[in-house]
Amino acid sequence: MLTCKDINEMAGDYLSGDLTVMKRISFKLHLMVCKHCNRYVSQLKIALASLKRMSGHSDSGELCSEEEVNKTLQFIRDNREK
Amino acid sequence: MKENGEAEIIEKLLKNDEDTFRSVIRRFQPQMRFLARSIAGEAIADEIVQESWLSMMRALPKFEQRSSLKTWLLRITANEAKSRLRRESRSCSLEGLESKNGPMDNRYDSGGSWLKAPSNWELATPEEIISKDQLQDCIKLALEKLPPLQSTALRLKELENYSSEEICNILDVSASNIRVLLHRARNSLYETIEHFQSTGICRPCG
Repeated sequence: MLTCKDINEMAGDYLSGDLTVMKRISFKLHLMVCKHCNRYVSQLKIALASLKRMSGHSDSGELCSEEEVNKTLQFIRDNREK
Repeated sequence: MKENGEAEIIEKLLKNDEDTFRSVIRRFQPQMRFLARSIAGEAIADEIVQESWLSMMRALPKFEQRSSLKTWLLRITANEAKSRLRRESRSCSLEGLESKNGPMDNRYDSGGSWLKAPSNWELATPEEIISKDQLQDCIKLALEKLPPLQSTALRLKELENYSSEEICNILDVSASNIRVLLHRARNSLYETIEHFQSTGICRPCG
């Protein structure tokens, strides 16, 4: 039987779907009988979702501008031989 | 994770093919910048990215393609950012794993049951949480205060959807350490929000 502390340690993997089937089942069984852990896990889910909302997918999904490409190319040319 | 045609791309890079260079920069630089900024901060992110391209050029002939080009480039970037931070000793600990106890560990008794149970959040949806400016600022501050590799691991996992394996590769940390980094970062975020909700005060935990 998992302890509440085990639930804390596994919660991230549970939410991202990274637990094995067996672990997932024991995790869910614990949540069925423990209201504190139930609250912790659902609030952690809200915390992580808030983080996602806040970031609004900043800059990493985009391509970089031609200006930046030129700048980097120039930098490489200027510094390669040193 | 390897993409089609990477061997060909690398061959062209080795021959200094400008078009290939351009497309590689265009494609990967935003992710490199995201990573550099996450580890070392906005102020020196651009410098780190440029230095990373130079390191990449030097290392390219020896690149064995055991990982994808993207993962390799990000690993180089993370290394540049980490060594820059160490050099400037701006950060005492990049990982923050010295202490045996992480955030929330003290909320459980020795048998692993709750000592201090989680309080019920009044702002109970992401929309409600981010509609409160002070709380948003508090969450940002909490991330800034985390050891750089903790916040970066969390961002890569939760915002950029990298697998834990890729994050290990990029940040050059062991599988067991990445678990602890992510676990501590998530709990710090949790406790920061919890504390704000119950007191109205921002006290970044970590």
